[in-house]
Amino acid sequence: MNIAIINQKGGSGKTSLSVLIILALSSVNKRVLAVDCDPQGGLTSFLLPDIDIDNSIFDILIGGKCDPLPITRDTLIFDLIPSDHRLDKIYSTLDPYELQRKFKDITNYDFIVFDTPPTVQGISRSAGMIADRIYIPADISRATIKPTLYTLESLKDIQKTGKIILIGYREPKPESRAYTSILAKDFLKAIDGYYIGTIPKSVIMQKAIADTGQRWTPGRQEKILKPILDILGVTHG
Amino acid sequence: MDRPVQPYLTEQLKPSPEILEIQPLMLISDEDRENLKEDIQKNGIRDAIKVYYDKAGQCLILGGLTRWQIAQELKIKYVPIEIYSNLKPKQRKQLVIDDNLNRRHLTRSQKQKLISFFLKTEPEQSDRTIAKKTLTDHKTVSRQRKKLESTGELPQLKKRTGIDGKVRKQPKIKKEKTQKITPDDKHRLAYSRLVNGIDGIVQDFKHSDNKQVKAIIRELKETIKMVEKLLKG
Repeated sequence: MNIAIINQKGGSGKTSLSVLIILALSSVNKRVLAVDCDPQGGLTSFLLPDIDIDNSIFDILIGGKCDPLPITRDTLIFDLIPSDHRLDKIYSTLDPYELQRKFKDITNYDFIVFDTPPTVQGISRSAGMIADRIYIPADISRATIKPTLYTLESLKDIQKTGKIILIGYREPKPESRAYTSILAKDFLKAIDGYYIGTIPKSVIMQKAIADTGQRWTPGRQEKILKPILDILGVTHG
Repeated sequence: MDRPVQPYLTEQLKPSPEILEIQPLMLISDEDRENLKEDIQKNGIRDAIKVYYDKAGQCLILGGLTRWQIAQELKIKYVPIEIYSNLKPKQRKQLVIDDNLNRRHLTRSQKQKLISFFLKTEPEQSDRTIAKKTLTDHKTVSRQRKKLESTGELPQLKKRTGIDGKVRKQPKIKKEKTQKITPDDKHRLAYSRLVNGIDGIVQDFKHSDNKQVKAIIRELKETIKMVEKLLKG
């Protein structure tokens, strides 16, 4: 199964959510390939902070090769195709079928997770085309609402439906007249049918999530990764 | 429509079967190729190479074969490509032809070869349709068709598809009474055809700046004069 994390809004939590999904799926022994499609290389920086890479997704897209790099986080194991700055030359204008062409023969993973840059064009559109599921992380703020709705509309153009995961959302009191409460109600109305769950901000903001020295104890997995698995609808297996 | 352009490893591209079939009909002259190579060496490849992916995921060249070959000669690592997806085989062939027609000044014999190619692969198309595809005149196509029909390389079809897409019956071709040809007439005919053939070559190359070609053209003109004298007897 292919999962794409997409939102035209920068800083909406795409990379953080990607990391959580990758770790969560690895925690239930799924074979996972993480693909960093962002020329800024956020996912790569998270997962390979001290390593210089020779090849990346860029090399795959221009007809070359990049072998997946094995990553270990305590007991959690998965593979990564990293990104680098060269992807900047092509990411915004990439052919929509390109990721399908390059990844269709990769069948030895249960999940491939594509982390994308803040756009719905180019490589993000291509990730949407190959994805079986698309998750759109968003917080409730004025700056996020319109780009998130635009992302939903853009996905409809390629006959795909994104599911929205809200970051740090707390249901307001029904009688509340606070600005943020009104904003939340309007946003939820607009995304009705697409909203599937919430991740606490405390979880997504944890810088230590992808640290190499992090111990993923059962308690920690239960607290941080299980809510992700519940949203994904994935059980142990 | 502006297609996105991206870099691609030069060594990973291959010529498509379509371009290998059609390119020999419209070869670039040595002089033009040299000029192109100099330009690419100086400025890089400015027009993206047109490609498509086959079912095996191989990236194949539809337009820009010469540019790609030059890139290999100059050891240019990446070339810009433009991807053409979801084209049918006929559309791919037409793209190859259009791309070359837009770039080349075809000689008379190249035009004839291109017209013959279309007549043999799409004989049911009307002369006007093929003329439009090859940027020639329908009378030129008609002459070539008659020539191929007379040698049996092309069937005489009762119906053809016009430029409007409608299928129409063709008028019956009247059989001409053949005259008996004497041995002398046969030789005259052969020499006459030889002169026409040589004249065709002279017309195609008479504007060349190449010294060797100019020398050959001068000799051919002398040969024509000599044969014409013999014909006058």
